[in-house]
Amino acid sequence: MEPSPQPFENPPIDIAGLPTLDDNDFIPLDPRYLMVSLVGMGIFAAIVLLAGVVVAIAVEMAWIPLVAAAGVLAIIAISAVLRVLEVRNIAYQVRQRDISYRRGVISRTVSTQPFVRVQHARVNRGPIQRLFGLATVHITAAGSGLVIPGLANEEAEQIKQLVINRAGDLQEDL
Amino acid sequence: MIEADRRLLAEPQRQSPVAVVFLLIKAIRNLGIVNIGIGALFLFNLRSSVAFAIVAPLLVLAALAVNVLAWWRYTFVVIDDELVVTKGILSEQRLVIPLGRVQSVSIEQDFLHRPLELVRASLDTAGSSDTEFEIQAVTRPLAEALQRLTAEYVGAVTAPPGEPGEPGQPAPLAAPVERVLLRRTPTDLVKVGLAQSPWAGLALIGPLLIFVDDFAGVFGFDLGEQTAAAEDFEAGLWVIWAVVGFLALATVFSLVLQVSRAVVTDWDLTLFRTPTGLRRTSGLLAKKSRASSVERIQRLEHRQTPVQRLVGINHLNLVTIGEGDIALPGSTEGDIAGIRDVVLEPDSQATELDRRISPKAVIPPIRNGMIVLLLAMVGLYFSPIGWWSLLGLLVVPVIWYLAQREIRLHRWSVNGAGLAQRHEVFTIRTEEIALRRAQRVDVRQSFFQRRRNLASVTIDMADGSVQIPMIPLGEAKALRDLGLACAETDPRPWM
Repeated sequence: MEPSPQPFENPPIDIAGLPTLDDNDFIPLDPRYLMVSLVGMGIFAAIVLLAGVVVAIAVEMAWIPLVAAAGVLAIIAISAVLRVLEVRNIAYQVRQRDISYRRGVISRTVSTQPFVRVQHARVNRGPIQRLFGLATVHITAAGSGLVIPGLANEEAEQIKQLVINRAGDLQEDL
Repeated sequence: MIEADRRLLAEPQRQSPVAVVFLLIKAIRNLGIVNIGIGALFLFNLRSSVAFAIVAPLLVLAALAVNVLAWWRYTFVVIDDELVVTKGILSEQRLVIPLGRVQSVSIEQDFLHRPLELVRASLDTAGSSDTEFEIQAVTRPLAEALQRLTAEYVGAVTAPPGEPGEPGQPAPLAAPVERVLLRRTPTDLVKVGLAQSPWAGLALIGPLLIFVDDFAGVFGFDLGEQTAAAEDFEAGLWVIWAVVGFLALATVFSLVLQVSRAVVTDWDLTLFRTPTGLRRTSGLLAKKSRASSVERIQRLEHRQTPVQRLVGINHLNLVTIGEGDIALPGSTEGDIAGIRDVVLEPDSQATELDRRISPKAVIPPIRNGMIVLLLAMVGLYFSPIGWWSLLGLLVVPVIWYLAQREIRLHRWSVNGAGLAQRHEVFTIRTEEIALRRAQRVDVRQSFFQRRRNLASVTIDMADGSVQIPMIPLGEAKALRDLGLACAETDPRPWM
């Protein structure tokens, strides 16, 4: 095994001096996001209920589709309660070199996406979101990325543009 | 030499006419053996009619004609800094690949290539997880010219570690000389085969057990008669001997299979350090070559089973973006250290493995194991087993011991810009990454972790991720901040 020369040097990083991600600087999502989530869940619950009733009328053992539908409805109800609790915790934070997204109620996660790794960003508006004037920003990197829902239209566009500009600028700086 | 390669590839090139055969084989594979079998059976049933006499030859001729046309229309040429591939029978498709984006050109020589001294060249780019395009059959000098030319372009945009040059600046291309980093001898390969699990090969012969009746008949045994006789203890002793004998025979057979497989697939396994990366070649019947730029390698993974520990070897895997990982079975600690020096810069090597995770991490696996065990026991209680289901309690010490052992032996370390982690129950698995290649960093706290002020950190790479579980929240945040600082400020290319 031949040793390879390693001319590249990288001075040690002062761990104590590193910029930290402050938990208090997160910006909460638009309050209308809770309504968007609940309306979406409500529509899904209505479809499940309707499907359960239709199948129950059509088949001989009516209790099977009704129990299945009740099970799904219970899961939707639990998800709705969790979403109500979670929405207070969902937030994002934009710094000079990265963007972070905080989510979760039982288990909480903070994901941070450096701008230099961003491949592209886009804004998506579903029909219910459009109704409430909200949008979702999708930020894509190689093998990962971030999805930030519940942003006002203008805010989503600003964040998308900021991400694209910062990604380009920082890649040039490096 | 590069200029000669450029001149050679400046003319539109076509594959060898033999490529028609490979295209046909590929088409048959794509169609599916089962579908072809059904079609053949259908035609065979028509053999008495005129249809069979006409349709079958026509289908063969049509398949041949389509593949000849596909071969004729497939050309590739290098124009300026781009590789232009033209293909398509009815509509023309042009695939333009900037040479700087090419991550690797792999050269393989299958059994059918050998008599004609041809090779298959496969090209990968950063933008796709699969092989971008394949040249099924081409002369070796032409494939090597393509490999050298793309290597020069990759070298111009990516300064390989270990070569002179300022970080982030194009490095002067090193002399196009390859050096051998490691080579496996036949003895090494026998060791690799023997050090695998002695039962792994049994999976191959397992289905043959349905013929065990006939097999026993060859030796004059009637299994049905003997099994009935086994009710008598003395007469049934032979069954025990037969089982022991079968297991011994199966073990030997399995080991022979494993050694044969290791020798055939990894014959003359050689790892080269090329000007821009690494290239692995191996194979007895089919010579395979796999290359990758150094930057494309995202993780080092090495695994060591207890048997491998006895003979002092590891299974080393260099995980690259997309397909095309470089597997190096039979690697010694010295081999790993040498390859680590090539793949990870000195500031990204974390080899001390001096940090532990919280001892409280033992609670969730024991709790989850107990819940599953309890549910299984309750289920079994209502089966004919009844109260015997309480025997499941014997598993409790096993669950407890395995969880304790895993958490006690779990180690990780961070050194400068490098992160490493080792898991061990019986097999030791180690993974090493350079933090500067991180794509995203997550800090996660479950309900259990929040109550104990613990957290898990996940470093997402372009291919896979590394998770450090159950460390103090402050340590997790510091690791996140370090990972982000490395990824955001390091000027070296990450891919």
